[in-house]
Order: sequence, then C-alpha cells, then structure tokens
Amino acid sequence: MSNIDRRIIFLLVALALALPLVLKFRVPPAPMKSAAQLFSVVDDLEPKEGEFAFLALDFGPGTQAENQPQAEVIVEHLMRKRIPILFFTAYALAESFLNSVPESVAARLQKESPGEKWEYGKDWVSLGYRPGGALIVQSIAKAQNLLELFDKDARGNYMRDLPAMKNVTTFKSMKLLAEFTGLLGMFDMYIQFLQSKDHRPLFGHGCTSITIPEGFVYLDSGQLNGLLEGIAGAAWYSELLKKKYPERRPDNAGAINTGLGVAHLVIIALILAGNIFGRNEL
Amino acid sequence: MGYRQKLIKIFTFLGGIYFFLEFVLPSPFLGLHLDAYHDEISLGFTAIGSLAIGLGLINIVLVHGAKIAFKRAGWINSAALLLGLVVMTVTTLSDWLATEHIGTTTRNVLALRDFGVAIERDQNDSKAGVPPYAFRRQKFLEALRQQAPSCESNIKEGEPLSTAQPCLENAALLLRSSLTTEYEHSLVKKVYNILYDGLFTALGSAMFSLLGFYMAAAAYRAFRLRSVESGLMLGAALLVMLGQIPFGMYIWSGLADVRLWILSVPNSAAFRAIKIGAGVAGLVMAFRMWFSIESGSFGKATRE
Repeated sequence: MSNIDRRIIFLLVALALALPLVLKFRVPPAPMKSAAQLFSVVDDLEPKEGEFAFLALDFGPGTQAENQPQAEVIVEHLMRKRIPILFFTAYALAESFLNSVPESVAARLQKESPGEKWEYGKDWVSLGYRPGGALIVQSIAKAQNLLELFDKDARGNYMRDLPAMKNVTTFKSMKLLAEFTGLLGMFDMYIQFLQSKDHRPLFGHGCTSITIPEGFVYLDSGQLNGLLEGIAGAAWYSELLKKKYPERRPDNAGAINTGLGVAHLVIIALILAGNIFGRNEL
Repeated sequence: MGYRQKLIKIFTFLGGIYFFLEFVLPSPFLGLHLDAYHDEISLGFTAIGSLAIGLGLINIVLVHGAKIAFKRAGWINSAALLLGLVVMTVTTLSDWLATEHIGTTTRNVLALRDFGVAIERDQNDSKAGVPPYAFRRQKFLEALRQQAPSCESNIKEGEPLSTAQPCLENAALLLRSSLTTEYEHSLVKKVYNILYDGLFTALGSAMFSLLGFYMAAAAYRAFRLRSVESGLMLGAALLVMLGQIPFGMYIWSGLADVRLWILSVPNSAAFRAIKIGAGVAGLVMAFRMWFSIESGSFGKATRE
C-alpha cells in the first residue's frame, strides 16, 4: 500500500469520477453559505425596464466542468425571474458558451413550462467576445450610453432594436454582475474597474475550486455579494432552486458534485494510506 | 543608445503616463479633459494588440510551411496543424458571414420602421429639403411590400406610417427567429459545431482533466507527514476537502462551518498578504517597464 502503481491510482480516480455520472448517483450537496448569499441577492432582484444583469462567461473548455454549471444555475434563476441578461466575455475561447449556455437553459425551461417562451433578444442578448481586457471593462463603467458603446450584438443586431435592451442607458442600468472564470487575473479586472463613483452593481462570482481562497478575500471584504465555490457551490445553488421551484427538473451540477466528492474521498484515502503504510520509508 | 531605442523609450513613457494620468486625475483637471478621446485611444491600443494575431499567423505559416516544404522531421504534424488552421478559419469566417447576413436582413426591416417614423416626423415638422410626402409614402409602401408584406394591411388610407411600427418590430423578431433557426440547421453551422464543440472544446476539457489524475498520484506520493507544519497543512486540507464534499455531512455536520472559518480567517489573512506583496511587486515591475529600465527591454540584457 505504500507504493501503489500510478496506473491503479489513475483507474481509481477515473472510476470514482465516472461511476456516479453513469449511474446517476446523486447525494445532497453540502450547504454553502456563500452560494446561499448569492441566491438571495439574485432572488431579491425584480425585472424592471431599462435594467439588466451582466454575465461575463470568461471560461474555456479547461474549466467548463465547474464554471458551466455555475453559469447555468444563475442564468436559470434570472430567466425564471424574467430579468434580461447581457452576456459578455473577455476570453476568446468562451464565445461558444455565450450561445450554448442560455440556449440550453431556455430549452430546459420551455420543456418544463410548455406555455412559456424564452427568446434571444427578449430575454437575453450576447455581446460576444470583446477584445481589450481591462480597457473594455473600464469603458463600460465610464460609458454615457451603453447602447452606443456596444452598438451591435454578436449577431449583428443593433442593441437599440433589441427588446431586452429597451431604455437601457448608462452603467447604472446594470443591476447585477456575475462573472465566471478559472483564469488568474480575470476576476480582479472586474473588481477593480467595473464600478464608478456613484454605482457599483451587485457582484456574484463563480470560481473553480483552486481559486476559492482568492474569492474568499473579496467575499469577506464585501466586494463580492456572493460566491459559487466550484461545482459544490453550483450544486447547492441548484438545491436552493429546487426548493423554490419544486417542478424544476434536475441538472448536472448535483451528479458532477457527487462524482467529485467520491474522487475526493479516494484521494483522501490514498493520502492516508501513503502516510500510514509509507512511514517506514521516512 | 541608438535612435530606435530612444523612440521606443519615448513612446513607452508617453503611453504609460497617459493612462496613469487619465486614471488618477479627475476630469476636467485645470481645464483639460484628459479622457476626451479615451475610448478612441483604447480602441487604437486594442487594434495594435490585434496585430499580434496577424504576426502569429505569419509566424506559424513560415515556420511550419518551411518544415513541410523541406520535408524536415515532423513535417506531417506541421501539415496537420496548417490544415486545422485553414479549416477552422474558413469555417469560422463562414459562420460569421452567415450570422452577419441574419443581422443585416433583420436590420433592413427595422430601418424601414425608422424610415416610416422619420417620414411622419418630417411631415409634421414641415421639414424643408425632403421629397414630397406622397412620394416618400409611396416608396415606403413599395419597400414594405417587399420586406414585410404582412404589415401592409396595417396601414389604411390616410393613416400615418408609424402605425406599421409594432408590426414591423414583430416582423423583424420573427424574421430573426426564422433565419436563425434556418441557419442552425445549415451545413456551415453543423461543421462549426462538430469542429468547435465536438473537437476543440472536448479535447480542451480532456487535456485539462489529465491534471486531476496527475494531482491524485502526486498527492499520494508527496503529501507526507514530515513535520508540524506539514501536519497542519494536511489537517487543514482534509478539513476543507471534507467540508466541501457532500459526504462530509455524514461524518460531522459542523465540517462546513469549520471549512468556512478556515477559508474566511487564516486563509483570507494569508491571501491578503500574498496579494499585497504581489501587488507591490507588480507595481515595481510596471514602473521598471514604464521607464524602460527592465533588463531585456530591447532584446539584450542591459544594465542602465
């Protein structure tokens, strides 16, 4: 037990992750106070003409497994409340998620409520990838007219013609900012620059498990109003959505979280085994 | 120091000082509006940064093209790379053109709406220098018949053209929706989805997920209790991991609160210290680069 072949460790981890997903084995997630905080922030929002939620999906295929479920639960909550969403990314590889995430959530909601529709242009708009990083984020906060700053959406429609953006004017129209990323330095940009002297939108952040310690610093200081801590945060948020909307169909967050939990137990067991049976080597 | 180095230093300094002063000083400051052209300047910097894509493309084609041309070792890999580059570029450009077409077609209908409103406004204001109202109305109706025939019946004789406004907005929405649905089932979109979502995204996730396996093996081999400090780290790691996973609740319900305390108190304190230190180091580095005193600024290690 002190010197297990690496291939056996790989096999154990693969089985730990895959079996819960394949067998659809789901265990209730651990409660996450920071996710519950973000849930109540979003739940307190009310749809109002001229106001919108700004969602920055700054993740790529590498961190898709954690960030995508986070984005999906927030998008679902906002769509259920009929709050218009403006999607944006400062990371080129995230562009396809700006379409796939709202479309998949809208399709799921329409299956659940066949009489209702969620449509592009009315319920969400995508700005696509905008190059410039910190420069573009700064210009959002300083813009006198957001619709002139953005001009067209990712599909070539004029922003002023889209019902979701009706009566949107300055940066003050942005009521909620939610940013999802696993990249270092990306989230700091929004904390630093997406605010003005008389307005700071409510800020929710979805991070990967590795960057949780960094996110907690800002949660503690009040610069973040809520934090989704990796897939566990998304799973708890999903539980809260299930409690509020009992007819809701389950999503992937719970299954992924369970698989990750089993893998964590395997790793803990391996670490303990290595320490107990490998003591002689020290 | 040659003139090139002097020029680079001057432009680096000017660029840095502009952004520094624009951020720090209020507007206006001593009668100067430093942020008057900030958007245009920022766009210019973004455009210059975009040149890097062109440079990268040229570099890739030169390096790998030479490998293929001279059949050097690994030329097949280079051929695969260039083939992937060409295929993805063509597919993405086609996807962009098709999406632009949807936007343009929809915009034409909405432009007609704006035209109708403008005609009525000019008529009410008796604006000079525009064609007669009857002529403009006739042209509007001809365009309406072409672009949105279903809205023609909305305008009765003598009624203002703006009565067609809601119908035209609805027609634009329906047109956008139908063109988008048509495009979603087109060959270009299917190829794009296969290449991007099916290949690129899936392969990217797979590459990243390899890290998980290596971390598990590394944790087993390297995470050994050798001292008090490593014991503290191991204990904290176990508590945080158990507090985050669903099964931790079956061991002890207080694990989530312990985890929260570890992250909120000692972790935040340590991380703040790290961030402040990194921030100060970043500031020093930024100053060195701003004044071009960073060694290797001009390609060679120099001491100023």
